[in-house]
Amino acid sequence: MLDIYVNPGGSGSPLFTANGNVIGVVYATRQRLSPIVKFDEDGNMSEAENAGVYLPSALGLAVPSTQVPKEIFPRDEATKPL
Amino acid sequence: MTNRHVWEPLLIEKGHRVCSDAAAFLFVRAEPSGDFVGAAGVLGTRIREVFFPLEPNVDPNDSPPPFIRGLKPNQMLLPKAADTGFCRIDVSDCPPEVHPLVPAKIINCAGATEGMPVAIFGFPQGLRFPRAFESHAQLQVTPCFRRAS
Repeated sequence: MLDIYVNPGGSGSPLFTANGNVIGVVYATRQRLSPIVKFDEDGNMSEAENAGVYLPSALGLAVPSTQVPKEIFPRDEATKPL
Repeated sequence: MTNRHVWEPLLIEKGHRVCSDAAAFLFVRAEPSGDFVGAAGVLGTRIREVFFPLEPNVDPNDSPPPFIRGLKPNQMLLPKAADTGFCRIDVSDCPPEVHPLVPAKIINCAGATEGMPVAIFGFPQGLRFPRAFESHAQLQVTPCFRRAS
Protein backbone atom coordinates (compact mmCIF):
# COMPACT_ATOMS: atom_id res chain seq x y z
CA MET A 1 0.00 0.00 0.00
CA LEU A 2 1.42 3.32 -1.09
CA ASP A 3 0.58 6.78 0.13
CA ILE A 4 0.69 8.21 -3.37
CA TYR A 5 -1.64 9.18 -6.20
CA VAL A 6 -1.55 6.67 -9.05
CA ASN A 7 -3.09 8.34 -12.06
CA PRO A 8 -3.84 6.74 -15.45
CA GLY A 9 -0.58 5.54 -16.96
CA GLY A 10 1.05 4.91 -13.61
CA SER A 11 0.41 1.17 -13.70
CA GLY A 12 3.55 -0.81 -14.29
CA SER A 13 5.87 1.69 -12.71
CA PRO A 14 8.70 0.21 -10.68
CA LEU A 15 8.49 0.92 -6.98
CA PHE A 16 11.87 2.35 -6.08
CA THR A 17 13.59 2.62 -2.76
CA ALA A 18 15.63 5.67 -1.89
CA ASN A 19 18.78 4.07 -3.26
CA GLY A 20 17.24 3.16 -6.60
CA ASN A 21 16.50 -0.52 -6.04
CA VAL A 22 13.11 -1.97 -7.02
CA ILE A 23 10.86 -3.63 -4.45
CA GLY A 24 7.63 -3.94 -6.45
CA VAL A 25 5.53 -2.83 -9.36
CA VAL A 26 2.55 -0.49 -9.16
CA TYR A 27 -0.68 -2.06 -10.39
CA ALA A 28 -3.74 -0.23 -9.06
CA THR A 29 -5.22 2.58 -7.07
CA ARG A 30 -8.39 3.01 -5.10
CA GLN A 31 -10.83 5.32 -6.80
CA ARG A 32 -13.52 7.43 -5.24
CA LEU A 33 -16.67 8.70 -6.89
CA SER A 34 -16.74 12.47 -7.04
CA PRO A 35 -20.34 13.58 -7.64
CA ILE A 36 -21.25 16.02 -10.36
CA VAL A 37 -22.56 19.30 -9.00
CA LYS A 38 -25.35 21.14 -10.75
CA PHE A 39 -27.00 24.52 -10.19
CA ASP A 40 -30.63 25.41 -10.64
CA GLU A 41 -31.96 28.69 -11.98
CA ASP A 42 -31.73 30.29 -8.55
CA GLY A 43 -28.10 29.33 -8.18
CA ASN A 44 -28.70 26.63 -5.63
CA MET A 45 -26.18 23.84 -5.79
CA SER A 46 -27.04 20.18 -5.63
CA GLU A 47 -25.36 16.90 -6.45
CA ALA A 48 -26.55 14.95 -9.44
CA GLU A 49 -27.96 11.55 -8.56
CA ASN A 50 -26.22 8.45 -9.86
CA ALA A 51 -23.67 10.50 -11.74
CA GLY A 52 -20.10 11.38 -11.02
CA VAL A 53 -16.50 11.00 -11.96
CA TYR A 54 -14.12 8.43 -10.55
CA LEU A 55 -10.94 10.04 -9.28
CA PRO A 56 -7.88 8.33 -7.88
CA SER A 57 -7.39 8.49 -4.16
CA ALA A 58 -4.03 8.79 -2.47
CA LEU A 59 -3.86 5.04 -2.03
CA GLY A 60 -1.75 3.14 -4.50
CA LEU A 61 -1.18 -0.59 -4.61
CA ALA A 62 1.92 -2.42 -5.72
CA VAL A 63 2.81 -6.07 -6.26
CA PRO A 64 5.66 -6.87 -3.87
CA SER A 65 8.91 -8.12 -5.33
CA THR A 66 8.57 -11.35 -3.37
CA GLN A 67 5.92 -12.40 -5.91
CA VAL A 68 8.33 -12.14 -8.80
CA PRO A 69 9.12 -15.62 -10.21
CA LYS A 70 12.28 -17.22 -8.96
CA GLU A 71 13.62 -17.48 -12.49
CA ILE A 72 13.78 -13.70 -12.60
CA PHE A 73 14.37 -13.04 -8.97
CA PRO A 74 17.03 -15.47 -7.77
CA ARG A 75 16.45 -15.22 -4.07
CA ASP A 76 19.62 -17.02 -3.14
CA GLU A 77 21.85 -14.60 -4.99
CA ALA A 78 20.78 -11.10 -5.73
CA THR A 79 18.46 -10.54 -2.83
CA LYS A 80 19.65 -8.51 0.05
CA PRO A 81 17.77 -7.08 2.97
CA LEU A 82 16.93 -3.44 2.66
CA MET B 1 8.72 -5.74 -15.76
CA THR B 2 5.27 -4.22 -15.78
CA ASN B 3 1.65 -5.29 -15.25
CA ARG B 4 -0.13 -8.09 -17.02
CA HIS B 5 -3.00 -5.75 -17.76
CA VAL B 6 -0.55 -3.39 -19.45
CA TRP B 7 0.68 -6.17 -21.73
CA GLU B 8 -2.64 -7.68 -22.68
CA PRO B 9 -3.73 -4.95 -25.14
CA LEU B 10 -0.39 -5.35 -26.91
CA LEU B 11 -0.66 -9.10 -27.43
CA ILE B 12 -1.62 -10.77 -30.68
CA GLU B 13 -4.59 -13.08 -30.19
CA LYS B 14 -3.90 -13.42 -26.47
CA GLY B 15 -0.68 -15.26 -27.18
CA HIS B 16 2.71 -14.27 -25.98
CA ARG B 17 3.57 -12.43 -29.18
CA VAL B 18 3.40 -8.69 -29.03
CA CYS B 19 2.42 -6.22 -31.73
CA SER B 20 5.34 -5.24 -33.92
CA ASP B 21 5.03 -1.59 -32.94
CA ALA B 22 5.07 -2.27 -29.21
CA ALA B 23 8.10 -0.76 -27.52
CA ALA B 24 9.77 -0.57 -24.17
CA PHE B 25 11.25 2.70 -23.03
CA LEU B 26 14.54 2.86 -21.21
CA PHE B 27 15.69 5.73 -19.08
CA VAL B 28 19.32 6.10 -19.94
CA ARG B 29 22.02 8.47 -18.91
CA ALA B 30 25.12 8.79 -21.01
CA GLU B 31 27.93 11.26 -20.99
CA PRO B 32 27.97 13.46 -24.10
CA SER B 33 30.57 12.25 -26.55
CA GLY B 34 31.63 14.61 -29.31
CA ASP B 35 28.56 15.78 -31.18
CA PHE B 36 26.44 13.09 -29.61
CA VAL B 37 24.12 14.52 -26.98
CA GLY B 38 20.88 12.69 -27.67
CA ALA B 39 21.20 9.57 -25.55
CA ALA B 40 20.36 11.13 -22.24
CA GLY B 41 16.68 10.63 -21.62
CA VAL B 42 14.19 8.13 -22.94
CA LEU B 43 15.09 5.47 -25.47
CA GLY B 44 12.67 3.13 -27.22
CA THR B 45 13.59 -0.50 -27.83
CA ARG B 46 11.88 -3.45 -29.50
CA ILE B 47 10.17 -6.11 -27.41
CA ARG B 48 11.10 -9.69 -28.32
CA GLU B 49 8.82 -11.72 -26.07
CA VAL B 50 6.61 -11.45 -23.03
CA PHE B 51 5.59 -13.92 -20.38
CA PHE B 52 3.51 -13.98 -17.24
CA PRO B 53 3.86 -15.79 -13.94
CA LEU B 54 1.01 -18.24 -13.49
CA GLU B 55 0.73 -17.65 -9.80
CA PRO B 56 2.44 -15.54 -7.16
CA ASN B 57 5.80 -16.79 -6.11
CA VAL B 58 4.91 -17.12 -2.44
CA ASP B 59 7.37 -19.05 -0.37
CA PRO B 60 5.77 -20.44 2.83
CA ASN B 61 9.09 -20.04 4.56
CA ASP B 62 9.11 -16.32 3.93
CA SER B 63 8.50 -14.03 6.84
CA PRO B 64 4.95 -12.66 6.71
CA PRO B 65 4.46 -9.16 5.35
CA PRO B 66 4.25 -6.44 7.98
CA PHE B 67 0.98 -4.99 9.17
CA ILE B 68 0.14 -1.82 7.29
CA ARG B 69 -2.22 0.65 8.86
CA GLY B 70 -3.39 -2.03 11.23
CA LEU B 71 -4.40 -4.39 8.45
CA LYS B 72 -3.23 -7.96 8.25
CA PRO B 73 -2.24 -9.13 4.77
CA ASN B 74 -5.22 -11.49 4.64
CA GLN B 75 -7.56 -8.57 5.28
CA MET B 76 -6.58 -6.91 2.04
CA LEU B 77 -8.25 -7.72 -1.24
CA LEU B 78 -5.48 -8.88 -3.49
CA PRO B 79 -5.74 -10.62 -6.86
CA LYS B 80 -5.10 -14.37 -6.90
CA ALA B 81 -2.47 -14.00 -9.59
CA ALA B 82 0.05 -11.24 -9.31
CA ASP B 83 -0.64 -8.53 -11.86
CA THR B 84 2.83 -8.70 -13.30
CA GLY B 85 4.28 -9.43 -16.69
CA PHE B 86 7.79 -9.57 -18.05
CA CYS B 87 9.40 -8.99 -21.39
CA ARG B 88 12.68 -9.56 -23.11
CA ILE B 89 13.98 -6.59 -25.03
CA ASP B 90 16.57 -6.15 -27.71
CA VAL B 91 19.15 -3.53 -26.85
CA SER B 92 21.34 -4.24 -29.85
CA ASP B 93 19.72 -1.37 -31.72
CA CYS B 94 20.56 1.12 -29.00
CA PRO B 95 23.22 3.69 -29.76
CA PRO B 96 26.62 2.49 -28.55
CA GLU B 97 26.99 5.57 -26.41
CA VAL B 98 24.32 4.36 -23.98
CA HIS B 99 26.17 1.15 -23.18
CA PRO B 100 26.69 -0.31 -20.73
CA LEU B 101 23.08 0.02 -19.66
CA VAL B 102 22.74 -0.13 -15.90
CA PRO B 103 19.58 -2.01 -14.88
CA ALA B 104 17.69 -1.31 -11.71
CA LYS B 105 18.13 -4.16 -9.25
CA ILE B 106 15.08 -6.02 -7.95
CA ILE B 107 15.58 -6.77 -4.28
CA ASN B 108 13.57 -8.48 -1.59
CA CYS B 109 10.87 -6.22 -0.19
CA ALA B 110 10.71 -8.06 3.11
CA GLY B 111 12.52 -5.24 4.85
CA ALA B 112 10.07 -2.56 3.71
CA THR B 113 8.29 -0.89 6.57
CA GLU B 114 5.45 1.57 6.87
CA GLY B 115 6.67 5.10 6.26
CA MET B 116 9.70 4.10 4.26
CA PRO B 117 10.25 6.59 1.44
CA VAL B 118 9.64 5.15 -2.02
CA ALA B 119 9.14 6.58 -5.49
CA ILE B 120 7.34 5.70 -8.70
CA PHE B 121 7.14 6.94 -12.24
CA GLY B 122 3.81 8.67 -12.63
CA PHE B 123 1.71 11.02 -14.64
CA PRO B 124 0.15 13.67 -12.39
CA GLN B 125 -2.31 14.64 -15.12
CA GLY B 126 -2.82 11.09 -16.32
CA LEU B 127 -1.40 9.57 -19.48
CA ARG B 128 -3.53 10.36 -22.51
CA PHE B 129 -3.10 9.81 -26.24
CA PRO B 130 -5.84 11.82 -27.96
CA ARG B 131 -6.67 10.82 -31.51
CA ALA B 132 -6.27 14.38 -32.75
CA PHE B 133 -3.07 16.22 -31.94
CA GLU B 134 -3.42 19.65 -30.43
CA SER B 135 -0.27 21.68 -30.08
CA HIS B 136 -1.67 23.66 -27.16
CA ALA B 137 -2.96 20.64 -25.24
CA GLN B 138 -1.26 20.06 -21.93
CA LEU B 139 -0.14 16.52 -22.61
CA GLN B 140 2.41 14.77 -20.48
CA VAL B 141 3.97 11.74 -22.11
CA THR B 142 7.18 11.57 -20.07
CA PRO B 143 6.63 10.29 -16.56
CA CYS B 144 7.73 12.21 -13.50
CA PHE B 145 9.64 10.65 -10.65
CA ARG B 146 7.40 11.01 -7.61
CA ARG B 147 8.32 10.36 -4.01
CA ALA B 148 5.94 9.02 -1.40
CA SER B 149 5.85 6.55 1.45
